[in-house]
Amino acid sequence: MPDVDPASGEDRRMVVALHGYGGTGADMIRSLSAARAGRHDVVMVAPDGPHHPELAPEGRAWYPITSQESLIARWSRELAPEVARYVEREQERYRIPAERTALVGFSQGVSVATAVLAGFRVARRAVFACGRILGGDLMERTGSGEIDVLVVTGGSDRFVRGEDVRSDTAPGRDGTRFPHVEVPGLGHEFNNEVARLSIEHATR
Amino acid sequence: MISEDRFLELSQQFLHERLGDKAAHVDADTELVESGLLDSLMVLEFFFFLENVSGTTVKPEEATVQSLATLRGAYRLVVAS
Repeated sequence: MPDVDPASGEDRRMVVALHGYGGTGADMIRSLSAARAGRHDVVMVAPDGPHHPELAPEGRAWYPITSQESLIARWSRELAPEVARYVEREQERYRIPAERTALVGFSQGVSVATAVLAGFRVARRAVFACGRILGGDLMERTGSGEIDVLVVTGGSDRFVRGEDVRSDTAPGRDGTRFPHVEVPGLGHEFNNEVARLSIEHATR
Repeated sequence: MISEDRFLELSQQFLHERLGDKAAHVDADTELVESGLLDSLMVLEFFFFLENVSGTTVKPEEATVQSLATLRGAYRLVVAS
C-alpha cells in the first residue's frame, strides 16, 4: 500500500513508475521512495510487466528483448490500453486526476509510457529515463503543451545513447524539443539522481 | 555470415574489454552465466553485442540464458537467426 497522507486531499499527486527489462515495480518504488523524502502527498504506484524475461528470470519485462524498433513500437502500442486502465484504476482509487499524474518510465518502460501517453489522456507529466521513445507519436500532443516531458539519459549508458534518444524526439511543430538532461557518468540504471530528477519533474 | 573462429575472437575481445582479466581464459565452451562471469546486465549487453557483430537479428523467443550460456552456443544462435 502506498505511504500517503490521507489528509493531503486534493493536493495529492501520483507517480506511475514503469520499470525496465528484468526490473519490477517494487524496484522502481524503492528507488523513488528515497527521492520523495517525506513528501506524503505523492502517491507512487508501479505495475509489473506481463513477461517473465528469459535473460533476467528474477524480474519482469514489458516485452521480450529485441533491438527491432518496429517490434518495440508495436508491442508498446499493444500494451498501452492495459497500462492506461491500470493508471485510471489507481487514479480512481486515490481520487487523483490525470492533471496531477506523472508517468515515469525507465528503459523498456519508456516506450510503454510513450505509447500510453500517445493514446490515452492519463497524465500531465512524464519522465523518460534511459529509454528509446518509440511506440507513439507524442509530438502532436507535447507540441501543444498537453504533456510536460523530461528526458533523462546517461552519459555512460551502453544500451541507450543520448543521440539516439534525441533523434527519437525530432522538433515538434513549434520547433521545441523535450527538455533533455544527460547525466554524466550514468550507466543504464535508475539511480538516486534519476529518481530525484523524476520526482522533481513529476511534482513541479 | 561471420565465421565461428572470427565470432569467437571478437567475442573474447569484447568480454576482455568489459570484464578484464576475469575473461582472460574464456574459450568456446566456458560457462558464461552459471559461472557468474556475466551478470544480468552483461547478459543483455552480450546479446546486443552478438547481434551487432554478426549482423543478424536474433528472434526474441530464441534469446534465452541457455542459448547464451557459452560462446559456441551464442554462435549457434546467430547462425540460426
